[in-house]
Amino acid sequence: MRQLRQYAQYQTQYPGKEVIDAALWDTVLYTSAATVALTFFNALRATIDLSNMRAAGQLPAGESFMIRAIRVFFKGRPESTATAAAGAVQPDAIDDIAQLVDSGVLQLNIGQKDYGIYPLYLLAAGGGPYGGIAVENILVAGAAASYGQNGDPHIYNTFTLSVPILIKSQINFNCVLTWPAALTLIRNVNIQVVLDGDLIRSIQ
Amino acid sequence: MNYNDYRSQYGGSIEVIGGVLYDTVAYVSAASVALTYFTVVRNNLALSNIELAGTFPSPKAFLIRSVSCKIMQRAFSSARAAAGQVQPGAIDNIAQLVNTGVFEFTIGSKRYIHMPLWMMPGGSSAQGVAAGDGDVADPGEIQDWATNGKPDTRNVRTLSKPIFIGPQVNFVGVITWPAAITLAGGVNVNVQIRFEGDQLRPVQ
Repeated sequence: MRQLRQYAQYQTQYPGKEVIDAALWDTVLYTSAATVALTFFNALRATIDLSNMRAAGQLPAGESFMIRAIRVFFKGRPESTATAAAGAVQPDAIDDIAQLVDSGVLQLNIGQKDYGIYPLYLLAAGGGPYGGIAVENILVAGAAASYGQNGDPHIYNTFTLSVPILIKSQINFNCVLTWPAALTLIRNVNIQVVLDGDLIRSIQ
Repeated sequence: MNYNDYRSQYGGSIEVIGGVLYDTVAYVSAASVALTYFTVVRNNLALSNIELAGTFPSPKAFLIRSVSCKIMQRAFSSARAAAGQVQPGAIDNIAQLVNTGVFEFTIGSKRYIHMPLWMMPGGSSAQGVAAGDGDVADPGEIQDWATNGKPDTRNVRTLSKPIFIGPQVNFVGVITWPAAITLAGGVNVNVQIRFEGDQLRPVQ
């Protein structure tokens, strides 16, 4: 016991916890004409823009997270596309988003249990570029320019859980996006899932 | 001599006013991979209102209630990209900067804010429309404009728990990108980080 007390002189963490506004995010690439499922938060990624997970599939000891909202952001860019024939679907950046959210479903799993199954269109990003675009062109083959995002980029436009969900430290969790069939997009797109809420961590 | 007869601050009291703290740094096309905020006095109120580099003079302090990232993008005219290619322009500038940019804010030696830039919309900004008159030969041009999120003063990231910066405590913000981004036309844009909250200062 005396020895334990001696170690206490050198501690780096102090009694109590602090709570801060925070987000957990992870990003996985949707591959056109191939992907039917993507799993998030189950691996460490190479760069911080892709993920801020510090352990695969769980939070480190001493940290827990209260999920207040779930958001899904598409890291697309504006695209120039040929105009489709009249009466046909127009493949472009907006059509990519429409396809992805219309048939995509997100499932949040914690431990051995699911804690929500949501159509992807419900989980608006609530952020991203907002603007207008016009094409000036004497049409030859036809031209279109487009950009799309998952919902209006306004922070009020987020799916807030009616009952927040707490992920305790060292408990397995992940999110899985599924589609009934692979979608053909004009370009592969990085999809980012964000768990938005409160991080509970040690006082240091 | 009774110095109390000549004082400029009264009773050690503090008054609280609504405050804004901001700093602006240029993103240099094809070069920047990190921008650092609040560590330099800019001497230009259009860029920053920091009085001291990286700290508040005693007894001033600040309670952060929300955080925003405003990208000072102007309306832009670009050559239309070939069909099937990414379309450079104002929207693409914003998309690229927020898709991979991550903001980190440190007080003392500990990180208190860490989130993707798209989750920190800029709030109010210019809003408009764009139109082309169709007299430019194929492949034509595009005109566009964009902001980081819908330009609405309510569209800012409000912290679920405010963060207090005490007097004479070091603080710094950093935005990082995994690689430098080439902006439309190679034109640099100013990126501003803004905190809104309560400013604490002496009663005078």
